[in-house]
Amino acid sequence: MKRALLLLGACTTRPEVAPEAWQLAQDRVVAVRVTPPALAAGEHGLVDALIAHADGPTTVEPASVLVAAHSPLFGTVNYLFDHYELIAPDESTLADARVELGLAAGADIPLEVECDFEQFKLITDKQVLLGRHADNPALGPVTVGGQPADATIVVAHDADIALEAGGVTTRWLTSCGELERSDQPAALLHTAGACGGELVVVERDATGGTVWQVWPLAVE
Amino acid sequence: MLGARLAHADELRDVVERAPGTVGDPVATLAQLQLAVVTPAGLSIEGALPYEVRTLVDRYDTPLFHLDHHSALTWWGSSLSLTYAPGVEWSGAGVQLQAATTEPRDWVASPLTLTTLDAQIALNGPALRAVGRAWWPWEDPPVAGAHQVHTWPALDGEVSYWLRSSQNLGVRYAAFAMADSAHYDDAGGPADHHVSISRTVIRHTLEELYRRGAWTGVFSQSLLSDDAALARGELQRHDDARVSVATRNELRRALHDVAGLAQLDVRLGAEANVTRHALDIADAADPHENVPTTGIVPLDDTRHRFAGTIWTSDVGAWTSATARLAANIRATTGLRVEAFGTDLSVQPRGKLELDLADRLGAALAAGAYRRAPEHADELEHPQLHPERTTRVAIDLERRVDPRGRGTFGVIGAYYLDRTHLVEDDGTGKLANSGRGTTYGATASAGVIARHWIAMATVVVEHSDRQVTPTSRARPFEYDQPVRFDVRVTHFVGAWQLGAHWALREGLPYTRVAGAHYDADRDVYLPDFAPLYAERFPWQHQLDLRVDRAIGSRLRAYLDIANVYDARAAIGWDYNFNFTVRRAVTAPAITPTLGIRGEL
Repeated sequence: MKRALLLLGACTTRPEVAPEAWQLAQDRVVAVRVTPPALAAGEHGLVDALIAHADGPTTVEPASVLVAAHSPLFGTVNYLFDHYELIAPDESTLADARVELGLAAGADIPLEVECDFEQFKLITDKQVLLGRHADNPALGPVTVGGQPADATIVVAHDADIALEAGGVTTRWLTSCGELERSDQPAALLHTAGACGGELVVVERDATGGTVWQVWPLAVE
Repeated sequence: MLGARLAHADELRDVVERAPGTVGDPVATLAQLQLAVVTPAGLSIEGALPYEVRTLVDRYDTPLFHLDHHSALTWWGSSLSLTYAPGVEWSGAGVQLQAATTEPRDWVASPLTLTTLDAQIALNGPALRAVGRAWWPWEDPPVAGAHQVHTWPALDGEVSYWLRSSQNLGVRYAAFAMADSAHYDDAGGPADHHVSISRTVIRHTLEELYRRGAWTGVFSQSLLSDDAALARGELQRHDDARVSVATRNELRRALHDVAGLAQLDVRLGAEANVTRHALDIADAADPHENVPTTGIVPLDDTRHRFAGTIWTSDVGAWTSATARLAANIRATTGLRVEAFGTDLSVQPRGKLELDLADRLGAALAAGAYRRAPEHADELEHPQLHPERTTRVAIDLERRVDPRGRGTFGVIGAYYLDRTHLVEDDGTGKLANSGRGTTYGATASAGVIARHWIAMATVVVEHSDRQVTPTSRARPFEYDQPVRFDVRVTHFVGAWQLGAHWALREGLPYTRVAGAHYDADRDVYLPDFAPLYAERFPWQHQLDLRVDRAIGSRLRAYLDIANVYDARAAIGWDYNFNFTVRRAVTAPAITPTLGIRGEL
């Protein structure tokens, strides 16, 4: 019951501590993407991330450090000239690894990689599947205020704007206004005064596939 | 003289029952008086975790604490005591909180108590004594945009009923019950942020007291039903439905002039307890003292999974003898043999009491204690063995005079050595690898005068633990090295005025040194600095209470806890990626108004 008591403490009426997860105007890693997220034998993959900044728009950056030190397949991580690449081993090496890890023949081999991004001390964990090919998911239809999202999103000030995305696991972020239910496909954006910034949606699938979309956002 | 003693007893009871800042909670009063470390999960005493401190109702293990940390006991329905180094008739870790449902008194009364926190109706007749209480919801009103709270009043009940009473045999039925229910909906969040917690505890006990000549027999049978359920979001649940059947039986005999001893009291007893846990768990890992936590658990964390039924059986037997070795020396020695499942343990214990002078006594106690590994996920690890505690303590006590007046005081020192403590390796694997040491000293002094009672108490204590015998010692989770209390009560006619000031050193905590990001789950997981290497700031607060009798059937009071609103940090809240923290502070100034009348 100690767990319940601790949980009760966490469930009190205290507001969230800022900055919250939906706030873009902070230095943080928003999402990490491996392209493709599952690699067949011999296939190459790239790792990059959507990075938010306290004083500017988001950027997409490659991993500055990438390791898989805790896996027998640590050699999957390679540094080629000026960037990291994942290169899946050949079929016989994958078969040996399945035996070593106690996996069934033909099963996906999870490879845990740790990555750093240039200005962050933060370690980011990401899983890559080896043994078959899969692509990152495509972003489903997104609506803002009931309308399909345009290349630039313009919304009214002091308004509640409904955001809808098609994915199951969704994260919304913004640098204008406040977001409710930011970890759900159907979120709500409360706008305040005039503002220029960005609106971001990230969707993830069950196998580590990741897709994001960044829109310029204007609150008028 | 008897009248004076009874009046004095009433006076003392009034003082403890109306202790400022406790608002009718006997356990809160006891925690104040004994300077226990108050934690979210109960009381920590002499370096023991709250679950190591057994809580007994009518001599059977019973959960006592509501979700808001109030105890389910009432002054009307139970009398309680904190027992250090309990005798051989008790299992556990060396300290226990005992409550006995109050037996019916020989008069009729039905007081009704209403406060801004609770309502309590009670009853006393020649054979029946009962009390029922409802606590009001304990949370502040919801803050806009934060969590919305739905709670039902917590309910308590205690009953004591004499079924039969004759010259040799008395039979009593006693019951204790408490119920909690709380539901939380994140006002700005989806349905899967819903949290519900409920718990219902009912204990029925049947006691038979038999007396014949020098023989006394105390027999009892008890049934406990404890149904606890926690649900959080769409994935996490933690249900434990427990049913326990137990019996305790003890024979006592008082002998005179045996083997050169003027007086010899002998005891022989046995108990058995069988418990069935029906568990359904998909939840984050159960907390363990040696694993740091921020209390923040992602909604998708279900690494602790178990569904099934677990049976536990504890059987114990004991014998002890108390002899007056000389006019001023009394010695008690005894042995407890206990089987927790297939683990057999032998626990010798003893106590030597000396009357050094008029109103001055000393006591030396030592004993070995065992705690069965039956708390939370310990149940799922049948390979665990009982934790072991050895305790040695010495006390020197000066008592008040026979009229119940004058100065009094206690000084004492204690040492506890713990081995085979259950430790978590951080992945949910448990082993009896831990050790712990606690030593401390306590001093208390006071005076009881005609219109005044005043008392000051200080405890200085050190408590550390090790994950393995070779690892470095680090502070215990609830190590509070300095605790100081002073209280004054003044009686003026129909008025009773009380003040209590408490000073506590801050508890240890483990600092979050950084975080790593799990990109697939989109959660940040904290990285911790060395365990319990930092401390919260010192805490202090003043509580005041004014009681006024209005005629012979009405009494009103105003209790103000934390009068000058001292709110030191007692915990930390973090933002989503642990880059910003905010202090969780001690409760704010809390006034409570109460009125009690005789129907």
